[in-house]
Amino acid sequence: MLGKLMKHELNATLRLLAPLYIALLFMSLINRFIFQLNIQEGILMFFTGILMFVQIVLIFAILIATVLIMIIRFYKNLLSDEGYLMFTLPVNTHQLIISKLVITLFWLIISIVIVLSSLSITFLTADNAGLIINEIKNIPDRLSVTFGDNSLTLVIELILMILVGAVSNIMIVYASIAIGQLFSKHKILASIISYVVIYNALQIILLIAIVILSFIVTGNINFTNVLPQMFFPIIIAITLLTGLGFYMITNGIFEKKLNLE
Amino acid sequence: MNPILECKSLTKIYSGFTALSDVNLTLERGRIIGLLGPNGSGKTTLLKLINGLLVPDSGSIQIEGKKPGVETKRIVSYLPEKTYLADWMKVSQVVEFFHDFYENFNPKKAYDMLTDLKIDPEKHLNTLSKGTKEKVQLILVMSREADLYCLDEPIGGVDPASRDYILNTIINNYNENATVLISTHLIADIEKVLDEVIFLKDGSVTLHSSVDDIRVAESKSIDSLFREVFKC
Repeated sequence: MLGKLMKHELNATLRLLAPLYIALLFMSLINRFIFQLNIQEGILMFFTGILMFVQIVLIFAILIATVLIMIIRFYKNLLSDEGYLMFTLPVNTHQLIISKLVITLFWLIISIVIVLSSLSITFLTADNAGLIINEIKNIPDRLSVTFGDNSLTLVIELILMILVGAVSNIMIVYASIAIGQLFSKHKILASIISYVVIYNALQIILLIAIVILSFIVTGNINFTNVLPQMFFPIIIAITLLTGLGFYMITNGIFEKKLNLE
Repeated sequence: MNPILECKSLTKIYSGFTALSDVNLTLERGRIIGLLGPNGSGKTTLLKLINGLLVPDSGSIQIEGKKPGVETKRIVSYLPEKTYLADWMKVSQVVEFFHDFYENFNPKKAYDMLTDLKIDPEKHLNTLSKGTKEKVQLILVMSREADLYCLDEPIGGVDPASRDYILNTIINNYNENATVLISTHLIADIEKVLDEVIFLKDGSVTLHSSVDDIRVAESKSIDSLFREVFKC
């Protein structure tokens, strides 16, 4: 059933994002040719400027749309009238939440890949491609200079932090929307306020955690070992627990306190 | 065999307002039952509780001996009073959706009924009128071979000519093991198909009886009895 939910979720979101993706990749191709023509004339430069501007706008549109679709889809599909259908399907609330979470994560990754592809299509030439690949190849060496043997751990930790951070942030959004629907009036406003409160509270808690951690770390000369061995794992663990906590809040509300209009 | 639905001292309170209080109800199989009551008497609340959209504050609710959950959702077909289909989908896509999720859904039945009511499956839902959307939903819900159908105001927004078709659909589409629970206040239209009625008043069941018994005992139609009982 989870597979069916994800398939349906993918269909429902693909139709919104695909046109933006296609438009951006198309614009990127056009701009690549124009870029290579190396136009220097006044009037024509104005037009090339506009085309470049459109590409930049599309890049922002995709990034913003990915986040907005995640929020609107969760609210509209689960907590507006459509919720009457979704919550009477023979599936449990875990499957409803996880299907939305996985597809959102998938689109976040695809959107980033598309944006990077767009930039590569427009600006990548044989010369600078070699340069960029060299730079990327140098990253492990550079890290090794600072972090010694820990460089691989560090790379894995950074990737994990981004993934766990994304999941945790999505869960905060979902939980805020779920908390908002507990109110009998002004549900959307209540969701936004919940998000602001949760977000700020977490920032403060995180700040305190960092202060405490740095107290422990201070006096430890071997700073480059402490970061990957202690500091980052703790941050990842905290983020993971936060995400799990908000997942349980969301699921609890859906199971026990559902209050569709 | 368990009764299809059993409620024991079922109570639901929304922020101080008692929507249902101490409802005891046992529904047998193979019946068409009218859930009748004025606005705000708790009809929708009861149907939402049966379908797991609400959790009772006290008391219990059991469908075929099971609490509302994934298992009961497989065998209960629910028509809410909302238009719950996503607007961007085509009629054929929502048929596919139901086919995907409900094992007891029969797409052929759905397409036959769509043809009868002259609804084009290739149309998008946002191009259909409100009444037509309601017909599509009812077709989907009745195309499931369910054990319990919960229909919340199924004919409210539909023209009188289509009402007869819909009522016939309801009568003809359920098997002898299934029960249909219809909430409505359009009693006169629906009276002729009902086997039993439940009167709900301010969240309590005031009457649960077979239609024949009422006709014999009161020698009047359900519609006139309703008007009498709920006189303002």
